[in-house]
Parts: sequence; C-alpha cells; structure tokens
Amino acid sequence: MLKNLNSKHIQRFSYKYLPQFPISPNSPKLGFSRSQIANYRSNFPTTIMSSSKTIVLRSSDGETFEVDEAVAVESQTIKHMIEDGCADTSIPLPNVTSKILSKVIEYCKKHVETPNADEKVAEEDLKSFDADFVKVDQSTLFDLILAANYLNIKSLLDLTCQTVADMIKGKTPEEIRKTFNIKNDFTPEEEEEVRRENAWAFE
Amino acid sequence: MEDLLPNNVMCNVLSRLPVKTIIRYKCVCKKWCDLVSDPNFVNLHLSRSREALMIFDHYKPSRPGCLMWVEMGYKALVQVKRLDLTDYCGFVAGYWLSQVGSVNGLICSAYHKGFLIYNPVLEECMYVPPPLQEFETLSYGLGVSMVGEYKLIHISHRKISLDSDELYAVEIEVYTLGTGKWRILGQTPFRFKSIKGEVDNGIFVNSHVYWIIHDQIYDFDLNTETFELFPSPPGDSGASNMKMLGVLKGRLSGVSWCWLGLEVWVMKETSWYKERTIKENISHLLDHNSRPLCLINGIDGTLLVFHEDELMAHCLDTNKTLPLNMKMCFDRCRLVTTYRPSFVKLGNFGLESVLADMYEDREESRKEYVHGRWDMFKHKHEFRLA
Repeated sequence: MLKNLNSKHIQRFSYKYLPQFPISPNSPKLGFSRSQIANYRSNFPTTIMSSSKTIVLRSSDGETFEVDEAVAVESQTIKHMIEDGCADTSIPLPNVTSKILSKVIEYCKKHVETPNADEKVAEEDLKSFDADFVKVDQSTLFDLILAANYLNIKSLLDLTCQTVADMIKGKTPEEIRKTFNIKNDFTPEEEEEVRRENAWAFE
Repeated sequence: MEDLLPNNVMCNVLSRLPVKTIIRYKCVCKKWCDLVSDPNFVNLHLSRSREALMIFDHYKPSRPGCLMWVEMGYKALVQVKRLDLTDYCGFVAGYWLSQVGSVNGLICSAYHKGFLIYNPVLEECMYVPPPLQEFETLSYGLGVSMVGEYKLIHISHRKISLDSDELYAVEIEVYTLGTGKWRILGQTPFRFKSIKGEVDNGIFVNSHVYWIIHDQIYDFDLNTETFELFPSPPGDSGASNMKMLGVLKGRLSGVSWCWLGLEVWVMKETSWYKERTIKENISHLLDHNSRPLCLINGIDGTLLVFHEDELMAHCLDTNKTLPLNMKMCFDRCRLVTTYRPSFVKLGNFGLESVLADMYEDREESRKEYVHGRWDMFKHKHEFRLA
C-alpha cells in the first residue's frame, strides 16, 4: 500500500489532512518517513486511503474550476458524466458562464459541507445561506435556474424556482409578460374570453 | 422571441403559486394557458397542493346548498371561492345534496338521482348514475388506487332475517370513474344486529378508504378491492370511543373523546400511537352539540376543527385554540371536510360526459365537452325557463 503512495499523493493530501504541518500546495516538503505515514494513516485511515478526486469544470468562457468530486456530484448531470467515464480531463459546461458556475459551486460546497454538524444550528445556518444566496438581480437568478436545470441540481432548482414564484406572486399578467419576455399571442377578444371564463380568479 | 425559461422550469415555478394566481396567469399567453392542462404540471401541482377546507352550507332545505372553499391563513380563514351548486350544475336544482368526499381536488356529492363529481378549480362536473342495488345506504367513500383509478364506493345494509333475529349484512358496490357502470362486489361476511346511528363518509389515505361502523374500523383496499376489519387503538379509550377518522401528515388518524378528554391517535407503520391527549381548553365543548368536525394539516401544525358558535380550530402541536373568524349557524353547517385543490381534468376519465359551463352563452365550448348523452342535461334548461 505504501508503495502506491507517491510524492504527488502525499503532497496533495498533506495540506488537507495534516493540520500540524502548515504545508501549502506548493511546498517542497515531500519526504515523510514510513513511520510518520503509518502514524497519520492510523489517525485518518479513511481520508488518506480514499482518493479524494477533484474534477475540473470548464465554463462556457473557458475558465476552469477545480472542485472536489463530492461537491461536483451534487449535479446529477456531472455525476452521470463521471460514471460514464467522460470526466478524465475536464468537463466542459458550454451552457454555464464562469460567473454563474462559481456561484453554483459555492452553493454545492456549502450544502455538501453542512450535514454533519449539529441538527438545528446547521439547518438555520443553511437556511440563511440559501436566503442570502438568492438575493441577486433577476437576470442572475434566471441564469441560476437555467444552470440548476442543466446541471440537474434538485435543491438549487427548488430554491430558485421558489424564489421566482414568490417574486411573481402579486404581479398582473402584463407584468408577468415583461418579467419573462413573453409575447402576448392572444387577441383582445380571446384574452377577454379567458378572463371571463375564469372570472372568479380575477375578483 | 425566445422564451426565457424552458417549459419544465415554468411548470415548476407555476406549481408553487396559489390556485387563483395560476388561473389568472392563464391569460398571459397561449402556452401558459395550455401549460395548466399539461399532465406534468397537474401532477407537480397536486404534489405541492396544500389542504384547504370545504364547508358545506345548506341555506335552505330545498336547495342543494353551497360549498365554500376556504383556505387556512395565518390568523383567519380566507375564502377562495363560493360555489352555489344550483348555478354550477343546474340539474341538481331542487335536490338535497350530501357530501361523499374529496380526493385529489375532485369533490363528490350524492343526491337522490345519482352522484356529481366536480372539480371546482376547472369548473367541470360529471354525472355518475346511482348504484344498482337498492338496499339502504350505510355510507360512501371515494378514493384513488395506486394505478390511478378513481373509485366510488357504496356500502349498504341488506336485511337477512334468521329465525326471529334480525341481522343486517354489509353489501358493497364500486364504481370506477371512466367505466360508466357500477360493479357489485357482493356481500361481506360482516353482520350487524341493528342499524344504529349515522356512519360518516369514508376517509381516504394511501389507496385505502376507512370507515367507523358500529364502533369498529373497516378498511377497503382500493387496489385489491377487499373489505376488512381494521385494528382499533388499544386500551379502554380505543374503538369504543373512536368517533372520527382523519388524515394527519399523510397518515390515518383518529379522534376519540369521552368525558375525560380527547385523544388523538395516529397510525404509524402498523400500530396506533397516541399522539396527543387534550384535557383542558376544549373538554367542556365535547357535548353532542359541538363535536370535532375534521382534522387538517394547517400552516403551523396539525389542527382539529370543531365548532361552537363559530368555527374554531385547536392546534395539536401548540395546544392553543384559534378562532377562525367564520360565523355560521350550526343547523346549516353540516359538514366540513379537507380539500386539496388540483387541476385534474375530468375529461381524462373516459365514458362519462363532462359538463363545463358557468356561462349560458358559451354554447360552443359546452358542445365540445359533452359527447353524447345530451338528454340528461336537457331538463336543466327547462328548469331555467320556468
């Protein structure tokens, strides 16, 4: 087992899992003795033995983001791509800009990190994070919905759709058309008929 | 111009809005008007639909009465819609209507010539003929099976005398919406010595319908169409005092009361758990004049609705009583049931003709919906002319 641990693994793992060594990713310290490694393994058996893969995501404007696999698979789309073996180098996401992708990654990270903490406190914390997360302008909100839909991240889709639903609740049909850029394809008579048929809803 | 958001996302957003708002947005564009009829949207909306109350109010003995669809707001009830059943389905004018039940947004009422099934949101109604056997009705039930078949159940008694004893056997008939006819399931092995008291309508939960008949709980499985005895809660204040069934958070629940207080039981997995015992606050109200009317999932927790001079609700979680600010005369208000609004279309069921009319001058659209069997509705027009 130890033979398989090459310098690259040790370098990558050390800064994450060995807090007593303030080693940065670029640190040249690579020489761990066998006993040191054995000691760390006994303290963190699962973390060192599991391969915490990172996935590289490429946005539509060419920017790359390196994220932990656990975070990336919050997206069912990415999860299936990984399972199908398409994720060797990087995963291109032509429908998502870097601005939106960074926000989505921030969301997924928060949601992956949280569950292990205290029940009530974690829940409150997550709720306020979600509430702040959607305090963005309308076009960003719509881009987030489209990204959540494309990447198939159910919790983000539910959050953003609920936000939009709350936003449009009190609007008139004309305001709705403006918000969603919808052309009114009813003739005035047809529209009048729809209103009349459903008069009770317009009271 | 390309749409900003794809259809499935729009369905997701719309399904979270209140019903009145969704209907209002039908006039935004043709696509949104059609979106509301999309089965995907209907299912999505139904899964999110919150329970409301349907209050059945008879204001004159000779008129079918009206239904008030009322939503539970934070402080008070908000009336969403008032359905005057005479205007709505003219052919029941002059008949007494009794409520059968409500499932997935469809409401069923019985009158002496049959049944009426309607969806108040889409304003569509459908006629169902009366049961084949003419024994005395014990109760009705309405539910939907796992495969999506909506079934109307009629339980009746038939007198079978053995020597000098009078015994009553329970007979069942089922009508599946879409088939156009009743099926006689026959006699069950259950026998009663007498017919005493009224039996409430069946409560539907998880493809089973439950009734309390003569202090025992019976269960009709809509999938296998079998009628069986269902275990009652244990102990002294078990079935002998279990007077009302309801559904709380998707589980069968029951309320039993006696002079000591009120108990709420919930069926979890395969056994009954006593969820709550209420001794103060409302025990003085538990006489025959004010009995609990129904159990409903409210905004802040589950509620037990009952009434004194006005409709009140008791929150089971916080143990507080909330007046619902809706005065009604006890004699008039016979029934309060839960109702979950939906956009389920009656036209999708099959053989029955669906009538959708609120407006006289919509001749064209009325003809579209009714396929055949026009004669049944003819007398409605005659009545109006009179």
